[in-house]
Amino acid sequence: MQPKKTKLALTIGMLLMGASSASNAATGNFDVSITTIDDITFTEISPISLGTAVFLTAGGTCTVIGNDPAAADVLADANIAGTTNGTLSGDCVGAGAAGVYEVVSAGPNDAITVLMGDMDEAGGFSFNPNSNCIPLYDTSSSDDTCESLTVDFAHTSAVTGDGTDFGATADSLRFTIGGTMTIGASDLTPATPYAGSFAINVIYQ
Amino acid sequence: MMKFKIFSKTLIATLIVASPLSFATDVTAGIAFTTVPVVSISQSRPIAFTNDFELALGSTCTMAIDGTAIPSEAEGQMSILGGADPGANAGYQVMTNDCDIVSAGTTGIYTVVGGAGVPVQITVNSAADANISYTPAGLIVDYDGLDSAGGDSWDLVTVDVQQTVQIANTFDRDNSVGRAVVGETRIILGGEIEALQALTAETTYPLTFDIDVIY
Repeated sequence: MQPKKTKLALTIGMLLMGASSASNAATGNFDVSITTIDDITFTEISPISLGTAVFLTAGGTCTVIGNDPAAADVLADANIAGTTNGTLSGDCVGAGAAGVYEVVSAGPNDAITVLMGDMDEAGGFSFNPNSNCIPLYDTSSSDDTCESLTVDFAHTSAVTGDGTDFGATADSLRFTIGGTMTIGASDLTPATPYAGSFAINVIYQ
Repeated sequence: MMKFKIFSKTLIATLIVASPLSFATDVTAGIAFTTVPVVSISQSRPIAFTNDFELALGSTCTMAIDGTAIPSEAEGQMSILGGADPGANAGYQVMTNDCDIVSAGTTGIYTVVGGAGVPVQITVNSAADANISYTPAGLIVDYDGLDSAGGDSWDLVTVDVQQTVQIANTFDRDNSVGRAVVGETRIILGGEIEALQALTAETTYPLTFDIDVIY
């Protein structure tokens, strides 16, 4: 019985020697990285103006057209060729101006979501941006169109230009906003400047 | 308690990593305007009836100015007539009734200053005291804001009633034959004086009347 025990011990020792040869493997650490898309930039090119002759009476309204821009206003091709942007109507006279806003993304044809708010009454008046044009670039030189933004509703069909639209800078999108100012419950003061604001948010889709 | 602390640290780390992924950018869109300037009225020329007003109760002295006896374009500073200054209509400032009717009277000219192209409400009020009354008659220039020779008009004054006219704007002035002053309109008044009691000879009876102007 003793010899049998010796054979068994030898066998176990050989198995241990075989196992020890696995320590020849090695593990290395290697770098991998990816850079995220450039952040989007969004700027106000020019603010909305209702001119310098707004009437005073409580409840009065003054509307500036913002949905009929010239092609150059929105970096569009000649299919957008409006002429009435900035026109005033209602309880005001003279010349106004639609606001112009520009989005620049990381590259051409980036899909952008635009969310436009409005202005509740503050400082004697409120503002509803109900006249606007956000272009739908068609990536050709002849068929850009205006679409409309709706207050507090995500607009998802806009993309930045790709350079083929007339006047468009690749990676850019411009849109215009006008709307209606409503005087609050009290008369405004003559010869007085008034100012207000509302938020617009843009984000990559 | 220890589990709560661990959870808190995990949550903070997640927020720090996730926040840059939004890429949202906000713009605060500005709105700006200025209200119309203060409106005012001043006397550019006082009204002057002729003398020799008779003394009897009920005597009247009338200076003609109405739709058929209009002032000159220059006095009204308007472009309704176009071309060269046509001068006053033949019946303008002609005196009738119980005063010197040989001489001409002098209409009053009153200038309203306000926002160019802005509608303004004007009320020409009658007046009276124990001696005499004054009932205005006249015209107010109502500009059309357009570059046309025939667009401006005279509105007949309706005494004691608020009337709306438009103050001259740039295009009224731009008309080469027009005389409009941007930001102004004018009121031209004659009318009638009446004795409310027997008056005293060689006495001047003054009276004031109001013209109200408001946007």
